[in-house]
Amino acid sequence: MIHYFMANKFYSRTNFILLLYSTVFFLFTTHAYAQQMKPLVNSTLYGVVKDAKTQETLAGATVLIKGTTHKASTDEQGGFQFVTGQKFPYTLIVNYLGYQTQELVVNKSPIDILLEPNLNQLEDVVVVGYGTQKRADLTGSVSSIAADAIKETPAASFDQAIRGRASGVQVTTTSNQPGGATSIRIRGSNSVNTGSEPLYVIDGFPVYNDNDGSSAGATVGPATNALSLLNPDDIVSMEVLKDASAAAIYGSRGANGVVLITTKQGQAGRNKFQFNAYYGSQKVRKTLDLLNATEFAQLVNDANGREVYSIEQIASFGEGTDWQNEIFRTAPMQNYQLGSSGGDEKTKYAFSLNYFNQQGIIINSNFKRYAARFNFEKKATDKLTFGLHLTSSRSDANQALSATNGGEGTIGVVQSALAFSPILPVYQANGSYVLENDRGIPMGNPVATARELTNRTRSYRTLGNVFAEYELLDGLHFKTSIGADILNNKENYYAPRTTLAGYNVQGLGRVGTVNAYSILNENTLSYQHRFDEHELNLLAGFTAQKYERELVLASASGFVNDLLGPDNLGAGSLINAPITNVNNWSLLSWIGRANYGYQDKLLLTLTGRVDGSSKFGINNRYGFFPSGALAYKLSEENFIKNLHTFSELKLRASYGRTGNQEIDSYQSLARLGSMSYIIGDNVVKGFSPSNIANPDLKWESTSQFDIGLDVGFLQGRINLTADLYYKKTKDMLLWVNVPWSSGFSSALQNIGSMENKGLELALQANIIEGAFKWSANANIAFNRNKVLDLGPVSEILTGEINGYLKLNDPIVIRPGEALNSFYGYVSQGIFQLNDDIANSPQPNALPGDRKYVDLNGDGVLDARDRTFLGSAQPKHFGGMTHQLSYKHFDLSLFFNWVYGNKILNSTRTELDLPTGQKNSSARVAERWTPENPSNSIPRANLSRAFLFSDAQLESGSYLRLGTATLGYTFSKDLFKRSAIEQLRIYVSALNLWTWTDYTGYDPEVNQSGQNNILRGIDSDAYPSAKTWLFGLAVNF
Amino acid sequence: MKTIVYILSIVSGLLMTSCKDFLEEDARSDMTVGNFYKTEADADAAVVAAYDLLNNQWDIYYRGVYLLAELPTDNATCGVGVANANIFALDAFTFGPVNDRINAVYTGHYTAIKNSNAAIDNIPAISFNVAKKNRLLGEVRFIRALLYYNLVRLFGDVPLVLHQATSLNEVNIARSPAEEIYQQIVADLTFAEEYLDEANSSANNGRATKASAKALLASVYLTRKNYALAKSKAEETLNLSGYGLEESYFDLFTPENKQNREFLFAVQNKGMTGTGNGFGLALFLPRATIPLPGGGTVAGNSADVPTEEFYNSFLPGDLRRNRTFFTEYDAGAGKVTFKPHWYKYFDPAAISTLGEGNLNYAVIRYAEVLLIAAEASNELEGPGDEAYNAINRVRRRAYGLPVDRTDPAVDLRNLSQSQFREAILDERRWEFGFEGIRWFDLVRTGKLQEVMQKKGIQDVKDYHNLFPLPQRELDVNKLLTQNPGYAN
Repeated sequence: MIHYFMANKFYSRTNFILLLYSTVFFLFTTHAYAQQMKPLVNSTLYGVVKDAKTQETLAGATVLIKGTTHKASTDEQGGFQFVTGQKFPYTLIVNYLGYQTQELVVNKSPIDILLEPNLNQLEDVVVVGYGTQKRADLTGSVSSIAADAIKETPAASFDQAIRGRASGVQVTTTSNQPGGATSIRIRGSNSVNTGSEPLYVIDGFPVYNDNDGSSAGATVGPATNALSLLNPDDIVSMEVLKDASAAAIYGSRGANGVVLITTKQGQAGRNKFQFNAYYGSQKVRKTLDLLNATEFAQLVNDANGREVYSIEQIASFGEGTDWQNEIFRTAPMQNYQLGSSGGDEKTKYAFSLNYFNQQGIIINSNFKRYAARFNFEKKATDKLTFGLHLTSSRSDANQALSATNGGEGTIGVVQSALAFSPILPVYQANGSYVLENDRGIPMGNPVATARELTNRTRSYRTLGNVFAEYELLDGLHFKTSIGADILNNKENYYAPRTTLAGYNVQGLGRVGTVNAYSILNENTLSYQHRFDEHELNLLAGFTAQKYERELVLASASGFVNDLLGPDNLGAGSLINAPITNVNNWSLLSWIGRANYGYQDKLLLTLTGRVDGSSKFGINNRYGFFPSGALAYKLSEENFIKNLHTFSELKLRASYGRTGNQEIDSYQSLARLGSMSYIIGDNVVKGFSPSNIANPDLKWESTSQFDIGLDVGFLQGRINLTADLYYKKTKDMLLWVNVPWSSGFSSALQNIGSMENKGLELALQANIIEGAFKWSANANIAFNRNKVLDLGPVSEILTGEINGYLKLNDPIVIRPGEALNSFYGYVSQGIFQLNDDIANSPQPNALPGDRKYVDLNGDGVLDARDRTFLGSAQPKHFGGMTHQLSYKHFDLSLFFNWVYGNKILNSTRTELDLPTGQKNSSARVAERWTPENPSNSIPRANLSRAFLFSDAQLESGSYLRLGTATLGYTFSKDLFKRSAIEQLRIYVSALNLWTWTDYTGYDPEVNQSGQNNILRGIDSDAYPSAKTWLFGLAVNF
Repeated sequence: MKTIVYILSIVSGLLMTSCKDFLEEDARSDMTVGNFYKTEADADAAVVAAYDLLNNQWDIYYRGVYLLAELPTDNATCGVGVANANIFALDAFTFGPVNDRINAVYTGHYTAIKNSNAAIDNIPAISFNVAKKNRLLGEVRFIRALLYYNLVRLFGDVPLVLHQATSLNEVNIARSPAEEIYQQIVADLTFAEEYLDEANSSANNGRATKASAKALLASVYLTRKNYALAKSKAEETLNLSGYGLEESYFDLFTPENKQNREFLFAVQNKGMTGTGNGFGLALFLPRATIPLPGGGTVAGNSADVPTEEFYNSFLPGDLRRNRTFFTEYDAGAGKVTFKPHWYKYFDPAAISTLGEGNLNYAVIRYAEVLLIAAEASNELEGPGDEAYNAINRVRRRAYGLPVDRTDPAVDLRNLSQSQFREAILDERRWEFGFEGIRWFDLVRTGKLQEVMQKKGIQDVKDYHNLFPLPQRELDVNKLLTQNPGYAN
């Protein structure tokens, strides 16, 4: 190593390697000769393994003499040797990751072995839970996402790269703020109340991504993405485990699917450096059309029925303030990554440093990350290997106030920029901010809120594990690991008196910290054996995981001035009671798996996991999660082989049960809540029961049946995967309403069931090969979700979802309907002057009011006339990637779409209310008046009351060109005399085109984060950006 | 190899034996039923929990009750700050079984009843001084009675829950007839009046006393039209030493005078404690009107406002008008005038921290007991000396006169029984404006329809004498039925 670094200063790499190669080879062979004094030596073989195309030597390839256990791996220079009792000729089997396995007969020494790069994915090794498998041997449903996809999705976190790349996996951004979170559903939501995000397993360490759980609650707005603390550039591959066979090894946490993440590791002999960088510019994707000051003034007069603004005043208003323009900006985004990886026969390492900085398109919002990683593996002896994965990062996020649900006084920057009176300027004549909207609806000046509010989260996360693996007997390995995930958050919030939130209370400050750690110990025994036509892989293990989170939250208001803010809460005059809280859980598990292959044709996998969780009732702590899968590789049968049509033909079927434990801790205990009252003019504390204990609380479990087909044609140039599945979740951990007369509102019970069924198709094709290459990937998924049973409950009402609009129960959960179904009235235009209103179902209406359908025909419009209006779940969604290259140019285009879902656009609902108490959409200028008998926008009036109907719903379908990247790789000849091995530059455009009818900022919207019930709601959401990036990648 | 197997078996052996402990829930931030209700201090804390929700303004006092007992009457209406259609519906008598404000009152009361029941269920088994134990039980039974008294008047027959539910099998309870609810209220109050302290030490200010229990019992009997018992219970209350009318109606409601001899039971609030126990003023103060010295205006909301008719109904010289309402104010940056807004509960010190008012909210006060005595006496034997004496003491104070000196200009006299009845109702309206009793009085006297028609609301029907049970409650508990008139 040291020699190499030194040498690198003086020689170009190629020259150096040649020199080193010949020197070492010479020494090596001499040394080998010297040792060759043993009996029964019938042959000595020296060889070098190389890439057939580039002639680069391949280090770390395994070479096996067929029919024996005699195995060698190639050294840094690709060389290997056998000193063996075998006589020439004999057969070698040469294996190398990413290359086709080669069997060849040798009859002389030395030889050169040329390996062809693997275009056929079947030979790829796929990471599965607690091990790896050849893709061809998979029995379950697994989608893989390669590092390329991650590279092509410049974003703070890797979850963005899953969108559209894996069939059946729906990724929805919950906030477009820098570092914003996503919500991921694999084959639909499984539950009403239980967390339905997938389990992430990062280099073997399971992490449930509960963004709210990692937040102290001091800051306001959507949670930042805890996954953004992992540097996406470190990831080499992601595997999404979708069916029960694949996920059951994660037992109680597998029901929502599992995303396995593998980070980069060095490879023997390939010491290399990498530098990647990109820099880009982001702009809001679209802005909404609103009334200008003149039109707004007319609306105010109209709604009030009197001249609030005189004609002269109105004439002087003109366009007024464009508040969107005041809060949006063109914002830079940049990322720098320096990596080094390499190793030798016994040691592998990868090291990286990363800096990511994304400024938000709303002023004063941003996200920064500093990250480092070190992965290391050492083969200490023939039998013992140990290693380490370690990453540590820090992030700083400044959030703009957004997605606040519109509660009074806390309306976010976006909503207030849309609704603030355009007549008012940003600043008063004396230079201070205009404090609030002056037309009735109180909301703060969006520029002041954006610029002056402190809403900052600083996080540190360290995720690491050490492992040791020992070969006990031939084929029998014991592996043990200890890992930890440590997350520290510090949140600062301060609303100074220049903002409305701080004005009323002379400054409002909050600080919070979360310290969370999760430690894990895993111990597995694995055994691999092949005899005749039978291949057997066994795995058994025991794991224990413990999680603990401590939270501290403090707040104060009434500050003398705004100088100290959150950094000295003690300076406030009203100090609120501090909050501290500890939350912990633990999980004990026993795992087992058997893979059996017969003639490489029939593959059987049996998996079982027993989990014990502290979260459940004393009577039901343990759960058993079994699965079984069978695959039949028809393409190995001669009658198929003889057709010469299929390069692969495999039928798969699996059935199994997985669980879900994503509920809060301590739900089975009878707990008491803390209260306070004033007695003797002093605060006294009290305690009262806060829940009904449920000692029988147990796992929610999901059974899944999956039948799949993998077909490959034309030597693997075209591959199709199809999966049909049926999932049923039962014993749902459901918050069942109990009568309020009990003093409680709900109790967590195991009740009810839900199903998801669907079809997934994924197609991969190398359409054109040669100098001009064109390959494409496409996938599409159809999922149908239905609530089957809610036990004694006839329906679940979702309550009020918007503090200001008073939208009550817009989503109703009822057996027989899909989760996330919108429920309301059916609108029917506007009452006109000559309508017979007195005899209509709405006798109190006035001309210009919205008309609704009396669905039950009883002549009265009431709550019984509501119906299901569509669901936030798409009919289908998917993605498509095209990769084209010609000589030095490469082009990739990534599309994704969602079709058939509805969005409750509550931003527009607010903007369409023609009350004149706040600004409205431009179309409100076309509102109903006696002279303008509009049939879509009601008359101006001061009332904010409205009925929730299909008029507030919009189609959420879209097709988007998510990324388009054009790259140029410089010819190697240019760098002959330098250390540079490869240089590629590229330009990318993100969100370049979106085809949609949706009128809001972006159809990919979900303000309620990871919530299962409230999906497809757009309120005060941080808008998406259109981004242009320039990047470069250098290898040396 | 052997060593490794050996080590492995020891490690897994250790792990196995500690499994049970490993999965034990360690709820370090929560009291659990297993470790609470053990000591006298726990008993005190259980009682505090029963009191706590009374000052949860949204659900009970003041605003929860205000929205059902002031707003749907001639006293109040919706101000410009109301955005919630459910509140408009209460004002306009168009409310139905789905109304978040009715829900809040219902849940608030039953949650507080649950807290009372938890104390009643668990305190007896804790061993400490019996007199204190009975006092504590008396306090929680008083609170429970007060809550049921509100519920039975607002909703009629309601589920009578007397024990805290500890399992899901115990939560569905059918409505009990109002008669039974009243029996329980009387039983609880009778226990309370026996064991409660006659008066509070200053350290106990805010706790229910004998006077609280007797006064509430008088009110209950009056509502039940049991005039003899109402009269005798009222007289017992009036004869307790240490209680009486405060001299000044205005000062009765000031922060400085929050503990006084007239409030027989008051919900306790205190600002700036950081525990959310302040009296919230924002909803009824004028919105964007009163300038503040530091710039900007008082952050009132003008949501809960009186009717102009109520403001104008006060007779000249009645000092209560300018305590109940205000129409002008100077917060130090110049005087402004505005439409009448509620002023009875106003803490000038909280003008820029409106959630932190330092004011107690009267649930029952000495003046009401006087008027109960007067009304009961009038119902029993027509207006006699006792009745006139009681009502006139209240009136004299209202006009700034000494309460015990007759005054021909202010005193009522020579009224018929029914005229006296009218006079009592008016007096109660003027005396207790913004104290959450008007709707109860109108229903009790059968005048809701008549009065609301005068306010211009024609659609008030008999069935409006009760509020609907929350629809959600009927959906969840199949044993329940809806009040007549409120089809779901």
